[in-house]
Amino acid sequence: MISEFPLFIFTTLGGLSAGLVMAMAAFPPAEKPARPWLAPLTALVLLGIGMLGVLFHLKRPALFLLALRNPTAGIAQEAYCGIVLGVLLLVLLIVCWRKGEAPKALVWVTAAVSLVMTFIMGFAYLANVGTAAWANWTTIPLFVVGDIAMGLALWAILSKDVLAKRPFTLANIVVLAVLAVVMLLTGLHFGSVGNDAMLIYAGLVVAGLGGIAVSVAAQKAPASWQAGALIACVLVGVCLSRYGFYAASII
Amino acid sequence: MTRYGMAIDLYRCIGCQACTTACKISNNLPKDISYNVVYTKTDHDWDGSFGTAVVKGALANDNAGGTFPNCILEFMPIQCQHCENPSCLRVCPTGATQKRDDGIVWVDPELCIGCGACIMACPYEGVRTLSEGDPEYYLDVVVGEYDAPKHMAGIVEKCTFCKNLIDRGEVPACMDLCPGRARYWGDLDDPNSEVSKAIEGRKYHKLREGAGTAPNVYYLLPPERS
Amino acid sequence: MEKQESMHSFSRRSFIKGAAALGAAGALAGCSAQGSNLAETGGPVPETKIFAGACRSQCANGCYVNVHVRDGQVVRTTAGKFDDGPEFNRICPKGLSLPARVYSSERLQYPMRRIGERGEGKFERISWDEAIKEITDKWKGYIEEYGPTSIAFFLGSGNTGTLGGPAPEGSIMARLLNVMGTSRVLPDRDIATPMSHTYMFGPGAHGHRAADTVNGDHFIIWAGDTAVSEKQRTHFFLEARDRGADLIVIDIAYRTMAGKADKFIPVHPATDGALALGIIHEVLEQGWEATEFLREFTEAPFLIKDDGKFLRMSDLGVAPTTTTDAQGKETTVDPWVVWDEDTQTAMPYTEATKPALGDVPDINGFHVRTEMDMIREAAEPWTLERASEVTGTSIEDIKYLAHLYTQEGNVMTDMKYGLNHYNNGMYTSKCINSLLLITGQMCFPGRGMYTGEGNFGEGNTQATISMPSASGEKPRGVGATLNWTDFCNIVQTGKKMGKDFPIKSFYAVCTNIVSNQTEQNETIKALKAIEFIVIQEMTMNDTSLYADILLPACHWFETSDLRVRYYGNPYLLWNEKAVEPLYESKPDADIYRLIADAMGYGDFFQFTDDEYLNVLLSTPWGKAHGVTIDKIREKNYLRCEVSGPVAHPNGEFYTPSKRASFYREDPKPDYMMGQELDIEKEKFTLFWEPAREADLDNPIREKYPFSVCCEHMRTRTHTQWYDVDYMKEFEKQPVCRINPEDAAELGIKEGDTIRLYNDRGSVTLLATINPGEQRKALHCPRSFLTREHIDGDLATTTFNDYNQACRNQSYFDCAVAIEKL
Repeated sequence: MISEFPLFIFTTLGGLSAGLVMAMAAFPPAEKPARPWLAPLTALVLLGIGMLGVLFHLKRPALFLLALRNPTAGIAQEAYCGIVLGVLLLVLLIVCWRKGEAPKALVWVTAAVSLVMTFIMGFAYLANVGTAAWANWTTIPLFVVGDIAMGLALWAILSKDVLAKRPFTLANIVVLAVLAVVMLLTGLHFGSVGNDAMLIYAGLVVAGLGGIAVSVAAQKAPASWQAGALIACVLVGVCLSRYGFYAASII
Repeated sequence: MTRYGMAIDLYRCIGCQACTTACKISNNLPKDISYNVVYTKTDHDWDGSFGTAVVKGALANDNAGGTFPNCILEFMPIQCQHCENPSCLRVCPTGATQKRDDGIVWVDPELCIGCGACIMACPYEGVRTLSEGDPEYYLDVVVGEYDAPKHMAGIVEKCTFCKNLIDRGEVPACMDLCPGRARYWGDLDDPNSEVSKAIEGRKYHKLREGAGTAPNVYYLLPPERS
Repeated sequence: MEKQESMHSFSRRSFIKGAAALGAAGALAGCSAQGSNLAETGGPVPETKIFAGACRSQCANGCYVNVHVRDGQVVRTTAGKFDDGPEFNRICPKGLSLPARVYSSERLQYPMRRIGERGEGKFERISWDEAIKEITDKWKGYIEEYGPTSIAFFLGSGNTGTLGGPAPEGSIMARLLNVMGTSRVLPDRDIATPMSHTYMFGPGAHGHRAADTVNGDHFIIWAGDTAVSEKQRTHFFLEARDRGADLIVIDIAYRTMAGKADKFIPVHPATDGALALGIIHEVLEQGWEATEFLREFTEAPFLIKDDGKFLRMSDLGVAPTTTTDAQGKETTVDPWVVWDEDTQTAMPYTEATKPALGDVPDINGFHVRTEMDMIREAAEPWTLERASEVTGTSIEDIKYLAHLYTQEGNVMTDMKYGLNHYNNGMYTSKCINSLLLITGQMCFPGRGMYTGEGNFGEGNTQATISMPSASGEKPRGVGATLNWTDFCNIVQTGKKMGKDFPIKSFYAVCTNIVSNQTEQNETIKALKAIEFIVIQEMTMNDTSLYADILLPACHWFETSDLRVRYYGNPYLLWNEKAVEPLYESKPDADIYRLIADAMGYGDFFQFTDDEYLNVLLSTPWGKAHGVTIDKIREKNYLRCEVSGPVAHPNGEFYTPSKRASFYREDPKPDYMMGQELDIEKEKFTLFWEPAREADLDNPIREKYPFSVCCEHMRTRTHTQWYDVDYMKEFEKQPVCRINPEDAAELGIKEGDTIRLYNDRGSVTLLATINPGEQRKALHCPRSFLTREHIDGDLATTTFNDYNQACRNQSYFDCAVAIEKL
């Protein structure tokens, strides 16, 4: 168990949540979904568990409210954004439950905040001049693009038949291709500062290559197994790369 | 404006551990916390690895490097660099890490929530310690100054520049008496201060300046050998 | 630790909780337990009192410390500051962690009596009255049946205070010994190198002072690492270098000062004497010897007859006269003869204007050679090739040293105890002394031995130990003086040199002989052969385990005392009492008085501490400068420089001839244990032979290929500070430093568990790879207790034999084999 496991949980689940909202906004369901509240609830629960992860990262969690005091700190920014996102997701959940569908404007605003969240998560690591592996520009797209990829994959499960749609699978392929390139560059950077990049390259293969293969198959001939295969590839792949990322922690 | 800094003469440091002990006792440090570590170093790449230390897991201090009889053996004391532009300051979510007007960077134990962000941000590994559990001590009695820093579980601790002593007109523990006469401190902005006079005319090195932290500890380099 | 728990019912933890139960003298008043930081209570700022302290473990330095006391507890120590000598301000990690010695869990708390086997560490608590009664009843019995010499006192050095310490320089224990007429056991430590100076230069100060270092152009640290074993003198060397002097280190391993040096010159263990001879050879070859120095200040022009005796005026038909010397003794005056080149006649050396160094004709029928002739003859075989072969030093480096010592200005030489700690230590040291004389690197500013600040004169020892009782009775005087190794044999055989010599009891104070003498198994055998052992100590160290009666001495800061014996700073220090003695511990001086009283010698101790100390301070110098205990207490320190900055100024030596000596016509061994003696070896100072086991050519090296240098530690003074866990952050456990190629050959990696062994003993410890080691040489720190080793003890591996004439423990002259476990 790496020392930064709670942070790993936070950025993975929180990132998954943010990515899901962005996927919701970019690829709204063609018809009214049977359970329109499911995706917002999923996003909210993922975010909630992720934020709990941060609490476990603190040695004095009872004082967590103090973490809001310094706006230049990545943790504080993640807290502010997380709270705003949480409130928006709650509103979205309630509206979906009551009205039966997600209003476009609300979804886009939530998606915008989600995108900001993914940037904040990545950007926070650039301040860590003590951890050469992390303080590099590649860290930002590693998180942002990874979160989007995870969100798209989860949306493929929650939104019926979205994987059958060409624009979706095309977007998937592009995002995963970009992610693969980012993972490669991250791995090379890690190697150049003396850190082990094995898990990052493993993630590249599973998420990038595996995910792209499933998406291409979906383009050619949509089938029910593909959504499950996609989320497995992307989630496992991103998790591998993130685990490898956090393992470079000097603590 | 006062700007406290240190100068450490790498030629004069003989690895005697007086400064580390002075700090340990004056601050009543628990077993697993060292604000100041004197490393044994076997090369002159001052920005590279700090070296080895028993307190950081090595078996022995002062093993030389190289091939007998052409060896290298140096000692490098490292503690918080009280940077001009501390990377720890920016990333502390609670504002526990603060920089005083006189330049001293310190951590308020009441505000620290133990997130470790400052440790990850600081390019000088090992100067900060995050306490896991309740502090354990070597002695059953309290030693050190009556206003030594507070020690408890879950907070980050590091060199305080003995601000408790400075504020009463006394001398930081590690600075009081170095047997090799390697350590200096004072106002870097005062050309007549001891630290400024120690630096004058000497070639020096500041650690890992590429990180952009602008450390306020001047490592005076050993003179060229004939 | 298991031993601790079985020992006494009073465990460490209960000292805090049960503090109130201890009773008046031992109560720990107002001690703050951890967890209560006073600053947070917001109350008034607690007062910190500063007391003057003297750190006096005999580390060969010894510091003036400020003892910070808060609410009756020692909380911190800092360096005391001399207002008339800031260059001597100093402290070290040991001095800075003294609070941990005061509150150590290893402190002896009350008198105890052994109930288990010797060395087991099983004791029962007894009262002070019981302890003193048992000791003195037994001693009175022994004195009656066997005489006072059946009781042996060991005057060690673990506490250099005068009242409390066991040191021989006028301590109250030394007086008790003298009053009772007991035997005195000599530690026989660190003898060779200092005695070599005394033999050749006479008794007196041999080293230049720090004040003179400004005059040195070159500084040579020979056979030791100042940064570890004398750290407080280090900055003087480094300051000299900063001023433009250069620093050269000659050593068997690359250690801290080598890292500061301009040049590091490697040498095989114990071959430094051969190196000196090689340098001398080159000096003579080049004609670089200091002719006028030799002629004027040394016995080089003295003439030796074929029978090995000096040519004297009586050989020229002039009858000797008599005179009384400074002590009032009658002595014969029969001056040495030299050949005066100016007048071409033989005459007393004091009258010659140009004593010849060679080419002296027969005088009055006697064929004679000068000592200088003998020097040339002795140096002849030591060609550069031979010297390099024996020492492992390159020919280039030998030539470099010859040039340095004669052609490049002022050289200050620091002769360290890496020269001393081998069986051939005396010969090695004499060869180097000879080098200094032959090159004229003595007696003048910047030219000499830089070894410290000399001494106050260690007080008027004679007066203190021999002053009569209150009723005018004279002390008996020391009953017998026994060399350590001899003592080990005597207690086991009951005989000294074939005559009965019963030893029934042994008394030692603050000196860990079990750990610190060589050949530990012999020490233990000796202790087991003694009927009644009394140990007085601060902690439960390895010697304490062998006590029959164990007496708890208080810590230095719990009593007041004067530190007279100093090294490297010319100050007498007054140690104030800062806190009350803990538990039932007592000041050592009080214990000596209790024993004296119960023995019936109370009349000899009817003086106050101050009265006693003023007698000690009444040396000629002390009297001339009004040195009294009150004067010292004005500032709690007093600067006393008995000698000037230059030792042997202008050629002033303190031998009978007043010149530096190369030759003794009738040398006597320092000790007699019935050993075989080839006295020829002791006559001429340019004699050298290899060490015993450290010699690479000794056949024993086939079986035991590695020599072990049992080195000092930065964080201990011998075994003192073993109980300070802070120090283990820097030196955690016994290790063996080994050269990487040697390690690779044996398949040893960093951290491997290895066993060092020879016929005498073995020790299991962890290997650490050190490229600073030369091949076939190991360094192991030598200050760990037996219980701190994985198995065995380093101290079992050394031998306790002496050189034939020099009574000296050879800590480094030890060969072992390595077994990887």
